Amino acid sequence: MSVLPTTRTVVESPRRRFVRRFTGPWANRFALLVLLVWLVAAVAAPWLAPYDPLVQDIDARRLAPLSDGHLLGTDALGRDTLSRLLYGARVAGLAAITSVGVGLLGGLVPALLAGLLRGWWDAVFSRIADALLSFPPLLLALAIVGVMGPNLTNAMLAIGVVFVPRFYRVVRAATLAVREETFIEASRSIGTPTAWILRRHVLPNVLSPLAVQISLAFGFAILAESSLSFLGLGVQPPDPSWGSMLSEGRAAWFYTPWPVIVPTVTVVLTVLACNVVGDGLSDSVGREKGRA
Amino acid sequence: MTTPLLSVRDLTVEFAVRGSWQPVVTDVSFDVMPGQVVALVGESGSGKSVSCFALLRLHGDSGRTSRGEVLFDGRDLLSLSEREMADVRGNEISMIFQEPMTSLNPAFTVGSQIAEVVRRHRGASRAEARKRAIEVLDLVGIPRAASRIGDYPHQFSGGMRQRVMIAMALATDPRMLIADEPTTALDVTIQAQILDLVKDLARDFGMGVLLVTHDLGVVADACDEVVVMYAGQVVERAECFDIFARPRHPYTAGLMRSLPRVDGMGEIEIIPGTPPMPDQFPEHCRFAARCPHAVAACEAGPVALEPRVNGGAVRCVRTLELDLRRTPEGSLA
Amino acid sequence: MSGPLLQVRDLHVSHRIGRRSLPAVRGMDLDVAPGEVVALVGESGSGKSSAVRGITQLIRPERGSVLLDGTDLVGLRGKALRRARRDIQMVFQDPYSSLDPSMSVAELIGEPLIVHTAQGRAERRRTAVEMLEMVGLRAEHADRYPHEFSGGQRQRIAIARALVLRPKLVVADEAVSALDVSSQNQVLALLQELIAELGVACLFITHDLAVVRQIADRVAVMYLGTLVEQGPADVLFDAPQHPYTRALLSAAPVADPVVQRSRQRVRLTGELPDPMNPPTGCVFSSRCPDAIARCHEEAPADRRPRPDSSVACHLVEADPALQPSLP
Repeated sequence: MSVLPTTRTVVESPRRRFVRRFTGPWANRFALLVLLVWLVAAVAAPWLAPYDPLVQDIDARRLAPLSDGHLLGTDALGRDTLSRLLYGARVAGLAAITSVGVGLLGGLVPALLAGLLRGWWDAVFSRIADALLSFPPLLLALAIVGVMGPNLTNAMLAIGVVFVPRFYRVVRAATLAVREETFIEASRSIGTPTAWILRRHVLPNVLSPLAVQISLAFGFAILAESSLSFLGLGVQPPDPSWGSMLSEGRAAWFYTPWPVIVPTVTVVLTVLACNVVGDGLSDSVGREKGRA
Repeated sequence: MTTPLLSVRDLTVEFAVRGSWQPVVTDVSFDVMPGQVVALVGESGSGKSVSCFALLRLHGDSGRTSRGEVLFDGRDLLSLSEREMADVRGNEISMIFQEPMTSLNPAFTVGSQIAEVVRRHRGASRAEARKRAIEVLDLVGIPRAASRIGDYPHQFSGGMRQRVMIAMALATDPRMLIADEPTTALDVTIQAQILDLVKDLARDFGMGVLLVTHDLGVVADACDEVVVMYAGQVVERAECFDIFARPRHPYTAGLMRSLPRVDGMGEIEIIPGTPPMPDQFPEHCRFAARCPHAVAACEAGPVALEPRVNGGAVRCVRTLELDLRRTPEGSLA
Repeated sequence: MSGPLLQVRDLHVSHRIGRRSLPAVRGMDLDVAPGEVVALVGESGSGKSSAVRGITQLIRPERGSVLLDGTDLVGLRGKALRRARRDIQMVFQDPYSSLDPSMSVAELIGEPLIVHTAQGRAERRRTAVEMLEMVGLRAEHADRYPHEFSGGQRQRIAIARALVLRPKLVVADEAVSALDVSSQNQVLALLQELIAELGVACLFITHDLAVVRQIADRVAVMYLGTLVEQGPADVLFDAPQHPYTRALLSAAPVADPVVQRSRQRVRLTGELPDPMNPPTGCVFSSRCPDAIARCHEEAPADRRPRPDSSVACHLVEADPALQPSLP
């Protein structure tokens, strides 16, 4: 029993409490800002980019930042780094959404069914998830790309498959917890069909842990997309991606470090922001269990 | 007259609520004599548990005792160092809680958990501590105590676990036992056995007992003195038989009438409304808003705890004019 | 008297624990007449919660029948079972976990309507508001969420939800046990008033004998998965027949020191037996203060000391006129 007296005169709605708790730490606010910038860049890349990211300018190669209209300089082929970065943000965003979408598509519904109904469903889905989990994620992605051929879509499908068992596990665990709540039994006693129980009672109550997992998955997806593109298995040249920018700049990075430093910092910041938001979410969504 | 074992004077406890200190318990005073069982009665939120925790300074960082003293055998517990206090707790004053399962560590045998308490407070050897553990388990009526000290908490039923908790509390021969709803989670047949045990310990060993409860049946069965709390204040304090026969505060009377009785006596009268929260405590009588006898004078200003007819104390401006006795055949008048 | 609304016969409910099956209810017969309040009393481990779940089909009974208005719920599956549930609604013990925190009060009360009626959104809301007022809350509470309410208020919402379909039977599983003293009485009074007003029958499960005394027309006492005694509340409280009923009643303290301290207690020895291996003969024989040799050998059949009560004990004298003739 808590010693604290319960003072609940001003009732704070769960949403407001969440906002208050989440926006408290400066790191969370900074991370949100980074993600906002990323979002704007990804959506508005064609309008924001000062140059065509593919056009090479032989006269303006390896420019340092802030020189001659190129805010972040140019690469060895004279392409504008800022423009490539902005288009890269678009690729990264698309990649993250596709892979997380695939992960949810494959993981969510089986997890809800397995968690609520247990028994046969649970046994089958959980074994599949275990099998998928036993592969190292990037290796699994490499294998899938290796078979299906190197392009961004395949790479993202591959990473989505990597997410499936992870989403599955989180949602199943949360469903198992929600399942024990009396309101599920209460709804069953009314005569509610299972699909309705899943949609109205289970799903809303597993969203919080899922949201945490999704933001962490975003970070991982960006990292994976960059890695695969760096290895030449994702975005194919000359299309811009943060990973391929790194890869292309790496040969001459000792002479012109900018084309390498800029995408590196961007990837680090974005991934970090995703992880910080994930941690912040998991700290702030705790359901209130207090008793009057 | 003997001196009290525990004497609580004007205890005021505040909790930090959104940055400001909110008094949750105000000016609580009562005594516990050696060998006496005192009931601290109230609804949840009345401050009865908070007072208990504050006595032992267990209210944590969000709470503070802003006023009052807690004299245990003449020493003010509130002025002891944290180290001295740790020596008092679990040694001279033991405490048992409502939920026995969360208070026992599932990873250790009950014998080793009791022995550890004995060794820490009494500096006993392993063998002595073990012997003591068997002794106290036997005392609280656990059959085959010697063979059960190697069992883990989950191997005991709810009632037996609560006995283990009591055994642990008694292992150091405390002079005072504070029990916070010790039987609320138990079945009535087990509750009756536990209450018998507590009564025996008070009578045979002169142990003082402070029993926190909301159950007036438990009070009627086991207690010598009754302290009734409402909204963070003591509203009435009196000898057990007298307070049941002649309650002097409308809340006490209302509480007694609102309970269904297993012997089916008396009509049920429900107190309307709910108790106020700490940030809504009024300056005047805190029960006035729900009191069937409230008049303008009740809301005129703070009401003091005054001496009560037949001993004890009561906090009501109209106590002398009201006859709050329950008529046996319900309210015929 | 018309026939019973609920007729439970030879109900057996077991729980699966790994490979083993733990019998929780072993042959229960219980009737509830239309509009009647029957209290099912027992201590923890008596199987009363399992019995409730067996009756409401939240656990599928192993054996036996549960006739609600003549329809056996035990055989029903899927849609037919869901339809039958319209007439048998529940109120649960813990008002903190029995209301989905992600739904508003109007949605919670409206949920049974979505499942069982064709009412549209506006109509459902109107019904929900009506129900709210009926249970002593106000229309403006409809759009709030459960966490904004106290335990007593939440239990009022749960009652509104259980009554919105005007069921024939409400099963209340320790519905007021988790509440504070004053709200406990308020909620109990409300439940009592509403079931009387709507003519709903109620199966009220509790361990609190004082509450039983106040609300029940009839009482059934459960011990280790069987009913040991049942009868009209007044008769059972004033002249308990079964030794376990006597022990249970004598252990419940009366809130009056003069009465309480002059009462004789029937003391029980030992602990509740392991349900996996119950005692041979009478289930209560291992703890019974009055047990004779026969009690350890032969399980007692129900005897009827009065036309409206039955006791499973060898030591109880049956009214010869009511006893079925022995073969």
